[in-house]
Amino acid sequence: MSGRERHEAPGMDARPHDAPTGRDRTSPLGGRGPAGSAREGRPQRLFRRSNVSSAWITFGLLGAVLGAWETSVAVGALDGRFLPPPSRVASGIIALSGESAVRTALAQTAYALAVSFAIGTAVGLLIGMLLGMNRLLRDAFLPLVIQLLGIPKSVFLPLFILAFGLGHGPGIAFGVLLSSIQVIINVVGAIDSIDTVHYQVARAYGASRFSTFRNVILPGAAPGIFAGMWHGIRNAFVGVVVAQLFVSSIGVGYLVRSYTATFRIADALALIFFVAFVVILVGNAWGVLERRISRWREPLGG
Amino acid sequence: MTLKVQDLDIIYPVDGGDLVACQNISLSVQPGEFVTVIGPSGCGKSTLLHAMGGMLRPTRGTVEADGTVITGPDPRKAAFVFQDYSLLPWKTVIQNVEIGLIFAGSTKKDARRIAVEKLERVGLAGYRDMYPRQLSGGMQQRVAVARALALEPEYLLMDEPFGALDEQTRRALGVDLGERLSKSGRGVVLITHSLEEAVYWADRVIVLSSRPGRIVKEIQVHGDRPRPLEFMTTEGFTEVRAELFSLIESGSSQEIA
Repeated sequence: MSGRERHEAPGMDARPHDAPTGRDRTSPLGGRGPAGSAREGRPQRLFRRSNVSSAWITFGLLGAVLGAWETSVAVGALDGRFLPPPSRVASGIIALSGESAVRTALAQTAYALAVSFAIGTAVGLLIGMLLGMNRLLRDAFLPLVIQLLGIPKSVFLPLFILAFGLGHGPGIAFGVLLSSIQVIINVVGAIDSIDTVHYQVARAYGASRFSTFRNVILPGAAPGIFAGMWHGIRNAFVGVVVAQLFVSSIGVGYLVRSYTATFRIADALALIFFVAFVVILVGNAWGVLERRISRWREPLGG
Repeated sequence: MTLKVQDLDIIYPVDGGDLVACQNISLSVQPGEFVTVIGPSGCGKSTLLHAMGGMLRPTRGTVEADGTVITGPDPRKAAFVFQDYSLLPWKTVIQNVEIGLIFAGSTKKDARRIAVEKLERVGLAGYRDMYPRQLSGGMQQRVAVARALALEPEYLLMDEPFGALDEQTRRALGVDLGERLSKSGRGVVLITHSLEEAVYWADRVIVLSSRPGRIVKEIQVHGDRPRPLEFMTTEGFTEVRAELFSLIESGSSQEIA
């Protein structure tokens, strides 16, 4: 069946204004933009159709910026020593990919990111679930987490060096702090977004606590949890790189710091662009996964 | 099984005193009987239904099933059909019909077999793999009814199940489900604020006063079920409807005054 029309059983109450129902339940805390925008109903459709041409505009703009940058350096409007043109950055990427120091740094950062994301998410999920499902714990601890969210956590960085030294320690620990806070907030928001009537149904039909958790809480919160995990990855990455940038002697962050300090700006930019590109790729892949598990939130189709 | 409510008081503690939702309510529902409960909004009719299904504990009085006091929900005795949006949106139609059974402890296999049959019973066999959002409001409520029927309960407790639907859908669904449920031989307690629905569905209408909800009157509605839509044009129907109208209107005007 094509999913674009509504389906009515023959001879039933098929009436045009008995429209598909469902409330938009965008979590106040969780939920990323792209997954959410498809859920707003009809008017959005007008904008969605223009996706193909908007992509061209985006690429056109990017091209124009790069072109302007390149020409500005060529005519001397920008100082190529401080801001090398895109062409030199691009050749820098190719050149750097052969350097073993770069490969080691990338591996170190990837390792720190993986460890800090794993720990940060596990901690975040556990605490988020506890706070989401227990009123008392939530009232006691959620305000603290929210306050923590509001302060710039980089100020704690010096303490992390004191506690964890100059190796992988501070990056991983700082990544754990940043990511777990994000995951907690998102998981609590996701659990909050579940309608009370669903808990009522579970109770009315005699569901055990475990069954309620498995059939109501977990699937109901899954899209928000998934979005939260993405924020977890992002923040673990920020934590790891920032710590490496300022205090560690390892990883991509350290390498960018040492390149800029020795005026290898093109190489520093190359590294930054490469990392940014990887993050964007991962983000898009995550978005695809997220839409797949949130399929039930789409009003039509399937 | 006879469902019996005796001297029921339900009082909610609220800021600045107690809120009496139900006061001194006694009633019983016989097997296979259709009872509708109607009253001004906020009169405690949903509260009464929730107490009858063991979802909340009465402050005073008891709810009994064949002499045994009900202390918690038992969906095989009395299964709920909630107001609206009660389907789990992340489960497909068939999974939603199964879930009541699974919550109640059935195996996955049994649940599937029964769910397929009940979905057919409400005329939605072709929609089993869709998500609730893809269905109209009326179809969603059919699924909710199938979910309740899957437990083969002795009573269906329906809490304004058609409240969110527009009038024509509501009437069509009411006639159709009324017929199917009449044939199933189960008892039904239906909460409604629609006079038409209250009379059409009922063997007996119970009228509650505005808060605190007390039973103002019980009215027998004659006429065999299932009833054709034309029942709504008969004299018997019109008379009861008129009586209900005056009872409810005087109740609400008191509330406003």
